[in-house]
Amino acid sequence: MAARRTIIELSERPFNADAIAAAFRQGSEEAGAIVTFLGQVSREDDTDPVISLHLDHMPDATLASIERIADAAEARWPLLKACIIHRVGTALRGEPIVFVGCAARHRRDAFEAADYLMDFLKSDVLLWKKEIRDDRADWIEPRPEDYDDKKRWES
Amino acid sequence: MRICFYGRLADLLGSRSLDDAPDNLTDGAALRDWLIQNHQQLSEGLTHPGTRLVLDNEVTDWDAPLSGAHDIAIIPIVSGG
Repeated sequence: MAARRTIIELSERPFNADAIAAAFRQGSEEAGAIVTFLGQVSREDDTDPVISLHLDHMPDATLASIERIADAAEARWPLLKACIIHRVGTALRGEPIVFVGCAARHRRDAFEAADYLMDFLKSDVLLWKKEIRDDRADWIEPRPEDYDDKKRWES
Repeated sequence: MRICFYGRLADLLGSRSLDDAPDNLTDGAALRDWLIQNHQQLSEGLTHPGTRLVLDNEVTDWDAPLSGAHDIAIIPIVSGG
């Protein structure tokens, strides 16, 4: 089996997305396209905003669940390399949660692979999110649209 | 037998793990029944259809035998990243 071309990391601390994006571009001279995506902790609600997001995880199993998604993306698109950095633990509003980078010779492959990775990261990774607000904390379950997003890739 | 819990289940239990499950529980279903009887605060979470058994880091079916498993965990439906 070919070596995985995706760098995968779970980060317990805030990460510098600009530095990661710059590092990802290094050594990508063969790529005709590099797509990067950054997900951040959002307010969700202006009247009762999220203060922080707690991401509970099982270290080995969570990493393995991301590896399966990365392997599927590599099998589907001719990626030169990819990168998935996912935050775990407690992240404050505005902090990065996930960074995805995809480098390919052609832009459509890079766009589609990044889109695919995010759709599956949103629904299949062994993570449990708790939104923390001023007066309460709520565990989040996937929304129907998260499953719908994933179905787009079934054909 | 040590059982670990994640997400909402850990909150319901008030702890990441418990160690009082007897060793003679044969499979995941028997473990779930025992937990519902002996840790009733978990009942709501354990009966949720998205709740799964994890043996040695592999998500598996509730009828899977527990014998030979080093790490046993019960997880709620995942919320993804």
